[in-house]
Formats: sequence, C-alpha cells, structure tokens
Amino acid sequence: MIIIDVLVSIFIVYLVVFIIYLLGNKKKRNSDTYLCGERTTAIKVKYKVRWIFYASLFIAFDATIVLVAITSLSLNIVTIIFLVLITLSLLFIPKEEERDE
Amino acid sequence: MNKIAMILIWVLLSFIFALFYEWFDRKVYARFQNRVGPQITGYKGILQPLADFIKLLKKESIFPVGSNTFLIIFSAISSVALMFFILLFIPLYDFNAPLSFNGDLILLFGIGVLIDILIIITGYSVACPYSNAGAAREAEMIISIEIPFGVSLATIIAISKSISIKENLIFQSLGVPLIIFAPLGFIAYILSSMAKVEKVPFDAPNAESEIVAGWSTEISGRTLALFRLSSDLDLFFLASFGAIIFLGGPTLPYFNLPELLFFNQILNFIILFIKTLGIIFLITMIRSLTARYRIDQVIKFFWKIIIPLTMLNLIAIIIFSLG
Repeated sequence: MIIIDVLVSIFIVYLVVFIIYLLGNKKKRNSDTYLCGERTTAIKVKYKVRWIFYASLFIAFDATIVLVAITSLSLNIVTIIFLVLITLSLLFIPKEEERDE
Repeated sequence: MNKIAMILIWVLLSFIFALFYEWFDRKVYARFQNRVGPQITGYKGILQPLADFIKLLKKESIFPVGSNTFLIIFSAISSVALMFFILLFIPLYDFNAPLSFNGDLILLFGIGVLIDILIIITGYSVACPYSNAGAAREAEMIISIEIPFGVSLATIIAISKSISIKENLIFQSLGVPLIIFAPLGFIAYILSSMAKVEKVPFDAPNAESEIVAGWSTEISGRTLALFRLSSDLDLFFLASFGAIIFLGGPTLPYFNLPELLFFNQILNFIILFIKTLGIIFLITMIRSLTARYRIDQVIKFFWKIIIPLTMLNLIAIIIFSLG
C-alpha cells in the first residue's frame, strides 16, 4: 500500500512541477560561451590522484553508516569495533595538502 | 482522493514556506550587513522571492551551443519534484505526514544525495568551463559533506532505535530533544546542511568571485527558476528536518497539551515554525560572519575535524546504549 502511495506522490509532484515549467516562457535559443572575449567550450576538469583516496573512504563510510543505521536495533560490540576501525582509517589522510587551484 | 488533495496542499504549503524562508534569510542577512534587504514587493518585501521566481519563469532560456539541453531540463524538473516529494515526509502540525513508513529516514538521506548528483549532472551538461568547474567542486564537496550528514542521522537512529521520523518524534515527545545526547551530531548536521545549500563559507561550487555562478553559470529562464526554487525548498527541508530530528519538531519536552485537537495542531505548527526559523537564523548568522573556504579547505575541515567528532559521538552513543 505504501509503495502505491509513494508512486502516486512521485507522479503528482512531477506533474505539478512540469505544469509550472510549462507555464514559463517557452522561447529557447542557443548562444556561444565567451571567456575574456574568446569563444570557449566545455572542459575536462582534472582530478588529482588523492581524490581517489577520499572517494574510497567516502564509499566505505557511506556503506557503514547506512548499515549501522539500519541495524540500530541489534547493535553489539562488533558494530563498535567496526566503527572504531573505520574511524581510525582517518589517520591515514595525508597531513599536508597542497592548494588546489 | 483525500490523499491526493493532501499531497497537493502539502506541495502548496512547501512552496509558500520555501519562499517565506528565503525572504527571512535575505532579510536577516541584510540586517547583519547593515542593509534593509527586500522591502518593495509586499509587506517589508515579503513577496520579493515570489516576484523573482515569476520573473525568471517568464524569461527566455538560453543554452550554450553543445550543451545537453534535455539533461539540464530533466535535472531542473527532477530536483524540484524530488524536493517536493521528500517534504511530504515532514510532519508540520502533529506526528503524521502525508507519507510515512518505517525506514523513511534512510530514504530521505538517499534522495538528498540524488538531488546533489543532479546538480553535478547539470554542471557537466552545460558546455561552459565555469559550469564544469562548479560541477567538479560539487562532486568533491559531496564526498566530504554526506558522511557527517549521514553520521548525524545514524546517531539519531542509534538513540531513538528507530529509522522512522514518526517514531523518532514520539521518542522525543516522551523525553528530551535528541540534541542533548548528540550535540556534535547537531553541529555536523548544521554545517553539512549549509554545504548542501551552498551557503558561505561552503559555497565553493558557485563562488561568484572565482567561477561566476559555478554550475549554474549558463542556466537561465524557467530552468534557473526551478533550480532556485529547488535550493529554497532544500533550505526549508533541511531546517525543518533538523528541527524535527534534533529539537523535537512540533513538540515541547515534558509538555503534554490538553486534548483539544485543533488547538493542539495550531500550537504544534507554531512550535515547529519557530524552531525552523531558529535553525535558518543560525545558518544565516554563520553565513554572515564567515568568509568563503577554498574547496580543499572545505574537504580538510570536514574530513579532519567534523567526521572524527561525529564518529566519536556515534561510538559514545552506541557504547552508552549497550551499557
């Protein structure tokens, strides 16, 4: 029953927002992007290798937190050890980071 | 039929409150800078956000050549629709919201991340270097701010032993607000909420003095109107959600109202309204008194200070509840 409620709600809110969008000005045109008078296009933003470290930590933390949250009714000593271990992984973050830009 | 009417009423209320809170934010921000803020449209400028929204809606949309227009429009519509959807889980005047089920806290967390990802998609869909740089910064920020946000929610769940907003509220109505047990969680929640709505000092993805308007640089017309509305709804959602899970929402600790249903609901609504205003005031105050962090400083701040503190708070709560 709740799934039907959720699906109906999503349908209604999308419909409402789409109607709002249709009420707006329908005129659309394309233009070139200028940067200091020069025509430019999209760029590929370079990432530094250390972002992969942060991204891996992010995935580990994100998965852990959701699991801990879902299993909150049956928390035990293993959960605490798991959380302590993942918190200790923060010690491996490089101490000094250079400026990004 | 009743359900549909209730959803529509909730959407309308969310729209009105989002614009009202934007006006409040702008007005308070202006006062901190010794300005008057919006004052012409409506009483004390209260209708200014609505006027801005209508103005943007009626302007033509211009996209740079080479942009993926479909993805930009889809992201704009989806971000507003998903914001309206998650606001349906917010109980405004009692413990019941139009939508509620066991596990809704996790769902709200997931949809919150999805909305941030839509912003990244938008930034990369626009053929403009500023938008691409803004999207890259947003991606870098997400991997830092979602963890403290999630940990603060996990702390709340560990205390109340429930993953439902309604049961969380019932738990708080029987005792004290959860901010007493999770002060670090509350601080992490406020700071990551500020980063989610890109408020100073965490507004690196749209830093106007560096990358014009960041991911939204080349977005205009009704698409920009929807993104602005989405941001206002996000502020309203984060403030009211924070008021509910940390401050007891529409209830007062150890205070049971007499059995006058309608009077109760009005009073509960006013209590939640004041708590939400308090959180927005706090956000605006921090925004007014601080300068912008660089993106690497934001990441360092969250990973080295906020995440360890919130994790310690969570571990302490779990050890305490085991004892």
